[in-house]
Amino acid sequence: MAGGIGITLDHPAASYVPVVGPTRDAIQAASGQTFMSGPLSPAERQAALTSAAMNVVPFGIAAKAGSALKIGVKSLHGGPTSEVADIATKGTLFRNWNEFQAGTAGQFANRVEAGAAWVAYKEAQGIATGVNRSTVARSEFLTGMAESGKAPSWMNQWLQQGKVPPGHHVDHIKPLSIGGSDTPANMRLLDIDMHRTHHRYYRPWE
Amino acid sequence: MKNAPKSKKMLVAFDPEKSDKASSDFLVPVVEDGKLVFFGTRSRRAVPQGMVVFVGREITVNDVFARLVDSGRKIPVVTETLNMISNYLRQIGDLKIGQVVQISGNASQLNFALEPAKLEKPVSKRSLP
Repeated sequence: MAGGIGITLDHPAASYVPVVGPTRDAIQAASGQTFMSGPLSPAERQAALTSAAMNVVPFGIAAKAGSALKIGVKSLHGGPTSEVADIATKGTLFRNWNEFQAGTAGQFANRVEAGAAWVAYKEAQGIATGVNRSTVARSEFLTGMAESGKAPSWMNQWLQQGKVPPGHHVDHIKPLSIGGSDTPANMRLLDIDMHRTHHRYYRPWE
Repeated sequence: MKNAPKSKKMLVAFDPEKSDKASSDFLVPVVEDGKLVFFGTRSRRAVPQGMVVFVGREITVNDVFARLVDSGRKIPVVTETLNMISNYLRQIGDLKIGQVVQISGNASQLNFALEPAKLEKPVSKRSLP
């Protein structure tokens, strides 16, 4: 053999007999389930095929109505994959009202019921919505800007008093709706048009 | 909710045949086919009996409700479900850790009680001489 990788007939790999059976895609198509990456062992393959035939969930995790069904098959390194473990321990977390509505479609009798459930749900998960903005933090940010000297000099007469200069808004860099803090470190001064344009496209709360 | 019941105890699924195995399938009382049953929030199955366990933190009504929502189970009336969970947590507070209980009561009026389960004596399968 002239270089390269190859095997001779007396090499142990020459006796390797490939396992003939359905591929991962075929199993996924048959069971309607998504398997994690990594090769399936023969036992896992058999378990998955059996479950596909019986239409049961092998490890009983994350069969949530209205959401993608994800089944974890044990990885070769042992234990369920981290994604599955996360779902199993934490459950699905809806971060906002729109996600909650989409994820719980058909679970409640009507929108009013869903609204009442969202109130209880967000309290349990510690989700803050409709956050009151701190005027103290905002004025601290504005006076800080005046002291830094980075703002145009014409703004100083407002900034020094902790007031927003005309034609400008104080924007939260990471919006409060997705967990941004209401502190000067997360604030910036934007002109009103720029602020509006920014949030016409950047709408993480939806 | 002021004076909302909180509990550091919770019910988990209990299998009399595997009584030495610990489960982490929290149970919530629900009405299914006109009957009151325990619903496993992780297994999503009706479970006949539950065992009282100690959990590391105080659990509120909303915590249990959030689990139920995450399980994907249909919740016809939210206020009724919250009242039921509230009653459930109040009753769990009076139970002792390790107790095995079952649910009984009137499904139509949503009145229920957690009462000690009648467990059969384990029959030894070992054939003695």
